[in-house]
Amino acid sequence: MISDPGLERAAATTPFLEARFERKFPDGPSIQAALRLPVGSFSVTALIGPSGCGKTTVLRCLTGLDAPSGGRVTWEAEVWFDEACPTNFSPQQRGIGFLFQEYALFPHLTVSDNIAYGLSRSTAVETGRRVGEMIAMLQLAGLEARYPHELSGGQQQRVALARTVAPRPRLLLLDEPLSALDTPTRVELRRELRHVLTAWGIPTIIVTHDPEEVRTLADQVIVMCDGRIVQQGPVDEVFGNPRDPQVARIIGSE
Amino acid sequence: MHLDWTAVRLTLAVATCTTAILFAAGLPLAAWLARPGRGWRFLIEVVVAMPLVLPPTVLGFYILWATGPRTFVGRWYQALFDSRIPFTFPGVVLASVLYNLPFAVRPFTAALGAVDRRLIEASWCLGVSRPATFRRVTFPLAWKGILAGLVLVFAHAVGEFGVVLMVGGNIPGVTRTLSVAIYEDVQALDYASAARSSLFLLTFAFGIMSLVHALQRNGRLP
Repeated sequence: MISDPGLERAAATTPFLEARFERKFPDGPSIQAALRLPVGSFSVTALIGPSGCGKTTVLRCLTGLDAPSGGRVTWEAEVWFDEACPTNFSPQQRGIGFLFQEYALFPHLTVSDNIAYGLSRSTAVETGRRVGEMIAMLQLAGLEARYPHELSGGQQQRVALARTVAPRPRLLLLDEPLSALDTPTRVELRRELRHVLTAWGIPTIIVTHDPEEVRTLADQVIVMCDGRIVQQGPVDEVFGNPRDPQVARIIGSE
Repeated sequence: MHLDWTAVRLTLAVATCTTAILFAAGLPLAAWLARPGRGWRFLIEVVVAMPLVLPPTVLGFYILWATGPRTFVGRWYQALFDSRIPFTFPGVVLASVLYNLPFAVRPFTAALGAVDRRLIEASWCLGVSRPATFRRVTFPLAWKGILAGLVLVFAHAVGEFGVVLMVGGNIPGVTRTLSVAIYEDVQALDYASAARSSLFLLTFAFGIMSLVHALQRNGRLP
């Protein structure tokens, strides 16, 4: 059975995203995750760990892009994945916004069309208004007709974020959103990102291996190592009291 | 001194039908083959690729054997259309489709498989269904390779000989395509007719390859 001592210490408010699952790989170590995140109000949870520890796999299992080998994932009363039932909601059914590490912008669509892509069920007027909101908030004015290859890394990141948030997802998953940027742009966008995440108020899980990003962006932190969650809790608590030297190394406290 | 225009029209009709059928049927097959995860899918890939190495006569023989009047397929077709498959226009098209299968499916699969998987997954995560993702992301990014496959299939179907002769025979206006006509003209020592038809196909092949080359130079084909 997958167990995690941090699970019991998670906030007691409802509703929750609850996930206890395992993902096995034929040619590598398995990934085990046990998360219980309050999602009724805005919070940013950072998932930190060294490269290859399974952070992205956890996100992909939450989105439905990968199916866990076993376990259960629920959102409030909704069962997204259950090995026993069996149930496995598609990414389209889960209503999650997933920002890919390399942004994955559609190269054949302009900035406006990229942002409007997930709004196909809205009317043209609603779509135009929503795209306008996103462009204003993420300072993309003047770039509407450009294609992704005509944008800088920072601009691409903003467009990808706008596209992900435009359909109003109920949970936002960001996979190392700043890792592909140079340091000055990363520092600038880190501040902006916290600002827009607070403004949108969407519960967010952000994958990173940068402790500074955790301190700047997150309220809670989950520390992963070798495919296991080794500690989780409020950022100040985990950074102030790492469970062991391994966690201290990962969060840069040693 | 004139070209056998009946054979030309029939040849173009066979090539057009072959291209249309392989576009409609080959694209879903290629989309399935291009999906990640291998498993036993390689068996289908091997079967699709077999006409590349199989003598046309062998494929033609098996088509004749499988669609003959004593087989289930033959009886079913006879009952439904009051006709037979061998030595008819549909039979020639069937043979051409099967023989050209790899010339369509392999470029289609390569083009669809070259589309960045993350773009497809990003579309799903934005709530867009799989068919709509194919229409809005995969196809627009893969159309150059798909067009290349279609041009290749059309050109190849125009010049098809062995399997068409096996399954269709040599019935003027029904199954006698241009390449079959050349063969018959040579057999009958009518070299002038054979030369005219050959020149037509040579010019056609040169035109098609020039078109492909021009499209490639303009960056519109891979």
